[in-house]
Amino acid sequence: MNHAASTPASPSDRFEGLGHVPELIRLGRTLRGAAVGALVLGALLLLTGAGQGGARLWGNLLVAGVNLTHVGLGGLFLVAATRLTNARWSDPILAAPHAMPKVLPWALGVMLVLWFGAAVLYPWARPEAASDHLLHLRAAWLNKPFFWGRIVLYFVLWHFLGRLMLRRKSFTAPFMVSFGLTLSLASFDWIMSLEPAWYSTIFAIYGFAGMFLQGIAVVAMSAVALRRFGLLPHGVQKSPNHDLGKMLFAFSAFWAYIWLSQFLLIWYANIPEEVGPIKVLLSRPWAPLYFLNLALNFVVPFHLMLNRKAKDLESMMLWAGAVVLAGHWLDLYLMIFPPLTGGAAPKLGLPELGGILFTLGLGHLAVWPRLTRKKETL
Amino acid sequence: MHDATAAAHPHDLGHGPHGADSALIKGDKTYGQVTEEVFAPIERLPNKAWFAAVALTGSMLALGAWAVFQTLTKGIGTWGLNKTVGWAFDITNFVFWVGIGHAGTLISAILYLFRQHWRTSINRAAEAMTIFAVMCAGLFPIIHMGRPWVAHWALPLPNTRGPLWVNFRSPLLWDVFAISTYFIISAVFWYIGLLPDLATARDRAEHPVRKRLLNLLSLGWNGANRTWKHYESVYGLLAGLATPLVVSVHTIVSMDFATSVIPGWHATLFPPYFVVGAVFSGFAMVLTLMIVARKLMNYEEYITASHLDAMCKVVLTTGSIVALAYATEFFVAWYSGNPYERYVFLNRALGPYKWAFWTMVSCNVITPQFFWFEKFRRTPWIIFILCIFVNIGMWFERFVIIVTSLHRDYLPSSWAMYRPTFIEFATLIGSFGLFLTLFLIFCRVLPMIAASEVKGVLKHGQEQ
Repeated sequence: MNHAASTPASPSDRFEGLGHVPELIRLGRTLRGAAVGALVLGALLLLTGAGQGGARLWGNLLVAGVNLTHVGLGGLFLVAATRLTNARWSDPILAAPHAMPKVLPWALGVMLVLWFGAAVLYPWARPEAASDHLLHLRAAWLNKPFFWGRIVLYFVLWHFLGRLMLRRKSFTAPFMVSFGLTLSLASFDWIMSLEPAWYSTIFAIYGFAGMFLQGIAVVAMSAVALRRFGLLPHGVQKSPNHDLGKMLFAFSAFWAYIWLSQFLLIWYANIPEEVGPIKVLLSRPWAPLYFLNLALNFVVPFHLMLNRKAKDLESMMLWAGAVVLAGHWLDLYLMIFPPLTGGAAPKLGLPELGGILFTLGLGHLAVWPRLTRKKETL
Repeated sequence: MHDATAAAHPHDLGHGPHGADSALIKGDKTYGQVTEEVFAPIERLPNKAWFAAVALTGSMLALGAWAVFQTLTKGIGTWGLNKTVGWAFDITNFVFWVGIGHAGTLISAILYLFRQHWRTSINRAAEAMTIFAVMCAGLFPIIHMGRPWVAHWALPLPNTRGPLWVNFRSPLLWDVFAISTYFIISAVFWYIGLLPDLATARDRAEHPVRKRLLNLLSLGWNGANRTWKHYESVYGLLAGLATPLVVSVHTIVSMDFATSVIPGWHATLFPPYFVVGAVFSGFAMVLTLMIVARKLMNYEEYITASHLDAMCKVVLTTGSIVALAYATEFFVAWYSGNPYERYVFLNRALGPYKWAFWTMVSCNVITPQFFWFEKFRRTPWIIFILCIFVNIGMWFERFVIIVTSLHRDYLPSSWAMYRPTFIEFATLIGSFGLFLTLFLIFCRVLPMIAASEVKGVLKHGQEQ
């Protein structure tokens, strides 16, 4: 534990922000240019997926929308969780989780654009859904106006309750209650309803586990970046990697636990309508990606962060974080694409690259200004 | 934890001087006072109230022993089971007791790794409860076997029974491994944690036999720096090993149900939902007993209102997660469009066992919500009552899951009702008798508070 980290810095000790360091202004500009470039290029590449029914355009956009939402919620959840447990280790790294929710309005934008691809993504939004018995039963819940109305409601709650929570401690517990309900429903809505006949009660927790793991990875990578740019508070001598490394280690194990719970129970019971999607993922074209997912979210970060010294190495933290980010993208891809393509072999190409660039660009543009704003680190 | 050895005291895990730790123990105690107050009760003879309590719990235990004797000599037919409901009261008790055990491991292992220093006043007693609860839990499947004298057949031992071998694919066998591992690790962890205190008890002992016995039990502890260092490493390692066990045991128990294809049992949510429910019930039980014990044994300065407050927050959090799990189950049952799933959940809420269901919801969902108010979290008698309700609710949760899912399944001609018999009630009472008797003995024989750990969080000697 970093003793110095828990010593509250006096106001004059706080870093003076980017405005005083010319190199950092330049770096900020370079990064912003790169992010704008990635965003534009990503959007263009995404459009190349518009052919063949547009599944790759809308699917990748959904992956990006969920991913950006997860970044924002990961920040909010980390702040709320550390506050409710009276944690002190997290004080020096709170800049990133405070900045991450800035991405939520943009994520809402992406989710709203999906309205136009609803029929491509969701079987219940197609005209023929009216004649499907199973979809008819759910029509009261799964219909376009109510579905997108709920999306707006979730984001309004996350954004406003989240902002209140960041400012006032007394809103932390109420935020958590609303967070539990909305995140559960959002997971069921956005992803589980892609597959009409399939359901899994653990699905929301599975989404949460991936979301929080990625959130920790983003915070850990930002903490390294902030320290290298000299943006951590003066009191902090070394980066608070060690605790973040433990969190990464623990929550990669938690993700694996939830992954196993879902997989093992469905595989073991072998109920036809339930096991179908798992069978697709275990079949030849998908299986390598399926197991790569397990490696990226669990095997690699878990083992990288197992060693005590490794948790103190910034380079190791960057690697583990990058692996987790890749893993969460793949996790979402594997949740979203098999139902879209009807189990056809996965195609990884320009639209997928576009989706990733789009996410990175938008995420950077939304989070970076806040992350490096004057006197925001403490 | 990594620099624990560099800290001022082995148990001061490096928070530095500031923070709330200084207020953990009330009364500005010195180390000597702590030793005196923790060890004095086990060095004198128990009072009349203690004997009265043991007489009561011993009678409960005797009633249970009679019931088990009846079951074993006459057979499982003494229970209310039938062809449709093959698991009911007995397995409910089993899951209930396994769940009760979870608070101890969570407090001793996970809170240790999370550096929650308030755990020091309660971990010893909570861990003892874990061990006793697992003992109670283990009895039920063994009784249910009908022929407990061949219980060892559940172990994969080389044998002369030809190709007869345990079924490694069965979650019931996973239970055997999960629970026995849990029991062994919990007991070792508890015992290792006891060593410094056993040594203190030895140093204070006057009778030579007592001294010798305690010397043996404390493994010749000498309090040297090297000994402490080794002790700390072992304790940390065991905490790391015990942490996955907090999760694994109830995960495996939940799989007894969830690997089946019975609506109401087969739900992927079951593993985390059972684990959280177990922590919920375990903390409620710890609170129930500790509120009585701190009063009777004058430990109110050790187990303060802040401790109760923290534990109540855990009850509120886990209770709310359990509520979210109930809601998720109902929502997904509706959402699935599967008529069997939908029926099972409607039948739970509106069918012949609706009284059990609504007892469960009232106790598990509504009761913990009172802990939103700080006043309730700090008033012992209110906590005591609320936690009793949580215990009742968590027993009913398992009853609802097991019985309502079984009694009306795919074939309406096989639908049946289950009613427990007196023998089954007596067995449950007997398990409480065993649990409480063991706990009462523990309070009188071993230091109920981990004195060596409490000394690590004392204000005394830290800031001078």
